[in-house]
Amino acid sequence: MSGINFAELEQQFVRDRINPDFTWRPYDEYSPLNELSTSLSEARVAMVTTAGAYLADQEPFDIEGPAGDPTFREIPSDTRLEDIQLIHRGYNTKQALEDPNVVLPLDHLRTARDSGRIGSVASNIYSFMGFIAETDPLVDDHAPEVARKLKADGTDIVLLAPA
Amino acid sequence: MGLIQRVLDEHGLPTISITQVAEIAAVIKPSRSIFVPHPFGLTFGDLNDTATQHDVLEAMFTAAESMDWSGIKGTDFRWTKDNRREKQLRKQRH
Repeated sequence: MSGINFAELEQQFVRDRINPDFTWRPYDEYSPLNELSTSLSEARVAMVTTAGAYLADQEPFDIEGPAGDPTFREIPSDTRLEDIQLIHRGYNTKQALEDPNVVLPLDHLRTARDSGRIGSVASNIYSFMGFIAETDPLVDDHAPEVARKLKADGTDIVLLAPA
Repeated sequence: MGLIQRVLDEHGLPTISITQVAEIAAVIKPSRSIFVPHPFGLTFGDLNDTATQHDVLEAMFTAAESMDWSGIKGTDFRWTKDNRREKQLRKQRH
């Protein structure tokens, strides 16, 4: 890791420039490990991204506020990649828009479904913003809502990818 | 990302994530993640590098199939094209 503790560097960067109260939300133990209950070739696979993806008819994420934006966008998994919009304060979205598969590999996910590597793709992709300084609304409200939606859709496993 | 994964885990959903910064995953401690040291904004690989994009997703699939570990697992992915990741990790312009 290049001898750099990025977690410490990022925390200080955010405190200096965005939110002086920012601190990581640490845990002592890993969260529960839930076993995949079917083979991957039969599994319904969902994807969650923190790339700040949204659709043109959805409100973009707030990238200005010091608290960050804890909300999510629901994107149908059959959306064409060229219809994906990206907004984020932590990476070059203009570049990623040239090939959104770099942060949201929808083409590859659908190919995996078509080839039988996975059973199916969940109805929706759930998209969040990567930077969220005040995390209670995320942990208490928005992420649990996504969990309920994923379970209602029959999701067998969730892939989560940052940007 | 790690906090969202923790919530999904606590709701009983199997999960696997990518982490680009192992130090952050070590603080948040989501159930399982694979370490892919690509630059921010190029999580799955470079623009139009369909082979690497496919391989990173496949690494997630493979991890999903092996349920006998928790924590952070290393991968063979490396970013050798330029020093963009190093600059990002130092919060330098790139």
